[in-house]
Amino acid sequence: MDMNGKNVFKSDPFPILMFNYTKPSISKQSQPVSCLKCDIIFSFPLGKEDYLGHLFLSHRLVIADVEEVALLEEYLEFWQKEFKHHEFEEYCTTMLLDQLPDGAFSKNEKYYLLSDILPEDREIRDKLKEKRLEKVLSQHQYELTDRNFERECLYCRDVISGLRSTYIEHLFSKHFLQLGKSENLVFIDELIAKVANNLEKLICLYCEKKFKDRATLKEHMRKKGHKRINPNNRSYDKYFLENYRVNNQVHDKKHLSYPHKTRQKLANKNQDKEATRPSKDSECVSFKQNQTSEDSDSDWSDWNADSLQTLTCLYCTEQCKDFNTFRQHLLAEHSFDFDSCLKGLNFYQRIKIVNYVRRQTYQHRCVTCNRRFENNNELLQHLEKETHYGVGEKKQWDKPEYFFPTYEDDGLLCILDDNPNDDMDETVVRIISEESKAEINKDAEKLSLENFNFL
Amino acid sequence: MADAAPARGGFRGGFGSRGGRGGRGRGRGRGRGGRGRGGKEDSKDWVPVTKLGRLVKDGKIRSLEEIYLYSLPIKEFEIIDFFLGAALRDEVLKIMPVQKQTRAGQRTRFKAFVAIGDNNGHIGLGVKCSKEVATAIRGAIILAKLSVVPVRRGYWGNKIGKPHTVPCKVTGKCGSVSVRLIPAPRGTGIVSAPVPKKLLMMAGIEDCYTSARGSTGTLGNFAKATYAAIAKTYAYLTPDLWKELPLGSTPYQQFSDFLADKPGARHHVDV
Repeated sequence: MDMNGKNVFKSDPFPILMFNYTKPSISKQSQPVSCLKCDIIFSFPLGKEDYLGHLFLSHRLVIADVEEVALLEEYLEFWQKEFKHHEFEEYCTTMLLDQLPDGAFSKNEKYYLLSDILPEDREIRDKLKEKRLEKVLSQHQYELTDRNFERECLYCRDVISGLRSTYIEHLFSKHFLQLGKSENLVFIDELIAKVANNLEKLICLYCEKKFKDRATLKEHMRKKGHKRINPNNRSYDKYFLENYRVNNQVHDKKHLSYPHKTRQKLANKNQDKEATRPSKDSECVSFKQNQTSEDSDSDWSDWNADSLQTLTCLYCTEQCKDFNTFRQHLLAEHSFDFDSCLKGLNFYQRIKIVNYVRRQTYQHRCVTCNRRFENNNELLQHLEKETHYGVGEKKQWDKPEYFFPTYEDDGLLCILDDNPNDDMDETVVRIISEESKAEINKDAEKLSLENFNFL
Repeated sequence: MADAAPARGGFRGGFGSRGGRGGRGRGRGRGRGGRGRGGKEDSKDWVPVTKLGRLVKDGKIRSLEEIYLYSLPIKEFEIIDFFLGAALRDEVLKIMPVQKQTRAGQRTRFKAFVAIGDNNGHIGLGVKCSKEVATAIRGAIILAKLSVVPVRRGYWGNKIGKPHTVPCKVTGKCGSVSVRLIPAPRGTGIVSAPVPKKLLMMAGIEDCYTSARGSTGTLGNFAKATYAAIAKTYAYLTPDLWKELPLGSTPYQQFSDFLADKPGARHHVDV
């Protein structure tokens, strides 16, 4: 029997699910995680305490700062792989204590501590923190832009719909309930539900005291200034983006570099430069001030895409990452030279060709002989057999209806412009030739500085 | 008793008035407490610090286009707010964490990329890095407002209805990415990757083909290149602009008396 009184089958060859019979939390779904050393499976996030208890009792392993570890399940998976082939001593610091796990006295029992003194551990912890930050930021981005939010206000009877930030602002401007700036918050739905829960149970938001009825609670919160979240209450930490930052500094110390101090420093730096009057309240920052401060501040080049737009083949469903792969695929799979077909055509004609071929493929028609087929496979077989791969004749695709893209977000249409000299189409608005002839004005030349003699 | 009653009444009156003052004080305190703690500053009272700002505040300049005509640099975002105000829509393109190695470890800050536009001829881009997301977004919006440029739209074929596409082929470049905007017939919509599509929609361009070269994976440079291309629409001299117009005087010259007379002329900077 372990400490919770549940049966622990240590030597059982089959892994067992350990259930915790408490109400499940709102957020994550349960995920099975197996122990680091043995094969017992625990269900996360409910079985977390059991897991840690089991680690301590059965394997004498303690994880340092386990509450600070982001994405605990992945952390444990990582170390599980490592410990399959290595012993605890290789990675953990060993401690000698004078008692057994269940409290009985003993001498020099070995205990293991897995902490971030070890560089691999620190690395994995940092990586996981960054990963969690990414996830949280994408959730935050969604909440920032999603307009389908609708909820009744906690105080009055108004139903606020639209952005979540309007709801938070309404709570602040009308009822002086400060949850924080909406851009700094994440998991807003959960936060509002939690606050609503507290108000319903007649518990004060700040000091967590219970009251008799709603009126006394409201009066208390108003008088004491408790209409806000207690900064010392760690259970609200997950709702503020600030807490997800990856910082290897002491956790409980507040950041000492206050914003106004850095602004002062910058103002002193730029006194010689042309600058506006440095005012604390107005946000009138001159461009030069920005450039001399952090280089990364106004740098646009570090925003990289997670996934690139892929190009779909004209005939089959193959996705290609870029134009070269696309061309090669067409050559290899469909023995079709895309470039030779597009040679000599201007941009608009190429657009029409692509849209035409896409339309034909969609309708399962052959591009060359216009025969209709039942499905894509038959069409491909026909094209292969008769080598009807191609783009069709000019009179087939040169119709104005093919100006409009057949598919939404067709990546192929955005890279067609390889030839910059397409001024040959007469149906387009006439544009001036790209080359400009600059004639130097003789009078202007006389004014050139070289002609002045400064003595 | 007759004396006692008015005394009591007087006392009650005194107490009532004290209570009333106390109540008002409490109310004021509550209001101040609520608004003072993290409340937004009142954006209505803007004190301009540049000459242009003063002219705009006093209504001497009718529209943003007058400022663009003389290529005057805009250094106060309230100027843009004054003219475009409610029509301006900002959109946060991305919030990403950036890290810097310091002696005490790593320091993470949030960088916000914001695009702003009124869907009818103006577009701006801004980026700001800060420890808090809200500060970064606010700063980026201000920088985006300062970078607002006008967008010229034209026709593809027939000149009926309102202009809907770019007037000619323009190209913008940033880093290794170069973006080309090509006029499209009405009803085409915007044919491009998601990032430039947002920018083009916010600029008020309804139909456009695009062609991008270079590493379009760097979305930052991609967005900037599109912005540069859109800004170039007014830089391109088309034949209908060949007509020579009489040289006008800049607003500074025009309103020089107004600018000189204003007390507190010590505050403003010669721009």
